[in-house]
Amino acid sequence: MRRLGNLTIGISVFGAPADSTTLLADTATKLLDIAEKRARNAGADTATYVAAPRPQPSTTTPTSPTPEPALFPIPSGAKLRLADFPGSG
Amino acid sequence: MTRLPDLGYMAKPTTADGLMCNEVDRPDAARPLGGEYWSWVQGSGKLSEVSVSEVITGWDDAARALDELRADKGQCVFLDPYKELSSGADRWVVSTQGEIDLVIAIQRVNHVLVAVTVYAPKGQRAAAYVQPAEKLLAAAVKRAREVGLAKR
Repeated sequence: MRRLGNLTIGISVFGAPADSTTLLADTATKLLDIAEKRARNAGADTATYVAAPRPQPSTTTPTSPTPEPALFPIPSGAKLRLADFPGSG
Repeated sequence: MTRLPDLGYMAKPTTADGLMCNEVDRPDAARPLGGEYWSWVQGSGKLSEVSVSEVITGWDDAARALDELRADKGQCVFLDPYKELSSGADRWVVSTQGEIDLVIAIQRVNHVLVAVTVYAPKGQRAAAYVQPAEKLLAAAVKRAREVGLAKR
């Protein structure tokens, strides 16, 4: 994963059982370099992004696959808050 | 710091940000039941600025998961050479040195692992960010306890 301005680029490489971790890491790094170059060329690193609205619960039959149930749901209050950051006052 | 958009609940979260996860190579490694990931950036989030990620994961056996991470044989492993900075029964702090240095501070609280990753600005060494990472971990563990995560 790599940060690029307002953009975060993530690459996942799924290897075969015989593939070494080093090989997969090298492959992912090279792909990340390519992705970064293309993102810069497209201006994606300086673009302004707006969060998409979260989907609302629907009473209709879903057309997309049912999401996996949360086996270990995390309460929203668990995450760090800005006040927790050193120097935030 | 500015918080980036939530990625939401993950059925297969990383143990800590900055690691590489590969369940194919390590099929016998402990797997999390689920978890969530949040991240923050300083300023505009350029590579020249610091960023922070937090991951909370729940496990059937979090102690085993932490032991496997220490041995670099868990579901997620280090991408760069790492150096242990401090180690306790349930707490581990390491730094890595690579294109971007980072500090990973992780603590087990019963069946939960709370992990904080601080990315040093590009070109800076991780050493300056160890203390902030430890403070953030303490705060993160406190938050996790406050919402009752560690009791389940």
